Amino acid sequence: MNAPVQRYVEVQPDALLEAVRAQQLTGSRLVQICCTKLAGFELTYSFARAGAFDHVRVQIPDNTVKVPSISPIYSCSFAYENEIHDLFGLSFLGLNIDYKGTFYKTTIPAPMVGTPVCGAPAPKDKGAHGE
Amino acid sequence: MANRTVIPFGPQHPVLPEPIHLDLVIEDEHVVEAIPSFGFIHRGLEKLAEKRDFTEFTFVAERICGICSYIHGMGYCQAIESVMGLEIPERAKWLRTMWAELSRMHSHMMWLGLLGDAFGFENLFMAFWRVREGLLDIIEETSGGRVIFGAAKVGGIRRDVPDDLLARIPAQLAKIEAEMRPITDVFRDDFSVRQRLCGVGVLSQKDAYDLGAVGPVLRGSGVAVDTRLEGYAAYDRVQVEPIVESDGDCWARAMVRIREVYQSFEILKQVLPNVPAGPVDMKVTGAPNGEFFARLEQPRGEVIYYVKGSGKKQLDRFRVRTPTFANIPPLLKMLQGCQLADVPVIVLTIDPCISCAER
Repeated sequence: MNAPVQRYVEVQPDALLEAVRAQQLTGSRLVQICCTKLAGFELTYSFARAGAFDHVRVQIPDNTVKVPSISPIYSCSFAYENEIHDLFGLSFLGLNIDYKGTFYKTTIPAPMVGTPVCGAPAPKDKGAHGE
Repeated sequence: MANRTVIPFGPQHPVLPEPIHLDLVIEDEHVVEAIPSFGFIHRGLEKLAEKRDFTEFTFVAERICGICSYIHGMGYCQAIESVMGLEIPERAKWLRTMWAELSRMHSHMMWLGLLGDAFGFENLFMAFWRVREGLLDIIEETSGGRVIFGAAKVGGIRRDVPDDLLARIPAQLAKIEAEMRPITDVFRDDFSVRQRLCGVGVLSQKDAYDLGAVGPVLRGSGVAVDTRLEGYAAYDRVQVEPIVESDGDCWARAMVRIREVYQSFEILKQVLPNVPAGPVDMKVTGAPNGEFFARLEQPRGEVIYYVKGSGKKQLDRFRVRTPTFANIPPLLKMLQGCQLADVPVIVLTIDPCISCAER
């Protein structure tokens, strides 16, 4: 395998833009942004260039904290950030194209958070009028 | 000043087998801006990983998409194997490479047919799809499935391919390659094909890189990035060069795919005689504890699989970043300034797979 070693850099939310800008200055392209729901939210920004595959990681304690958008640096990040907003309920500050929750049309808001997965026991149906 | 009009494109449109919607802001006949929306068929497969056993989930991963199904299954398994530190048998690595290339060929040939159909060249559509049937026959013979291979498995592959069958495949491929030559010659030389594709939907090298384009969209704009060079499966033992075109238009993206089909023939010539003897899978015990980002080259471009486990049978997180999703921002750039009549062809040249994007 010639795959580059994957490096993780953990930063505080207020240092995120600086870390991302450092990636841009090295000529990296944005590969993806991944959100994982743990106790809080773990955001992983992946960047690649020849011979390198780096991840910048930031922990967000809860969804009341607004995450700085990296779209002023990587304009294509709007797709990932709108996706994370719609599936996880996180909000981004300074998003260049903000769909305001209409990027994905899901019947449940933020379905990746706190929603029982398919096949889990459903809450008892009380009917349309709560009877 | 010309009037601006917003024209809805999709979610149902003749060139779109799957639903995606674009609001096209038009000035006269030119597109000023395109605003996409998704989610018409969002399936929540990533969420499902929290419930399924990680080995069972391979079947779900293969069903993310019907065209690149094998590479989805293989990429998922590769990510799990990396977390668990599994070194799968050599024979499995070579057979994975064979199926990945067969997958690429049938996907590109399907797309080339669809592109012909999109600009009204029905004969090209039928010719490409007729030849593609031969590839599907090989896939069926070796894996048992024509669309969903069902061959991926954590720790190797689910089904071995007999050596006598492997020995027969080069002759079948040679026949398919010979049948394909005259069709791709038409594609390269026909006046009407060039008129519809050359200079249309241009994406500069800088925009392609900065906007995160992947696969033939990126390489069609002159950027030599191909994840196969990282040497996963048996790619570290075959010769692979990124296929690059420099014009960045619809024609360049089509040429990349045509040349990649021929490249796959060459890769298979290196793979098939060298498949080593031995087992095709290994016993897998325990559960994934850790995380890994796996990168593979699907027919549509680089795909990312992220798995995170904490020693349980169910994963804490599974994520796929599909090539179509990455190619949406570049698509919006390509559409700016184009003629309204060219929109369907430009959209098609990113080879959109909404099934993948709506995993």
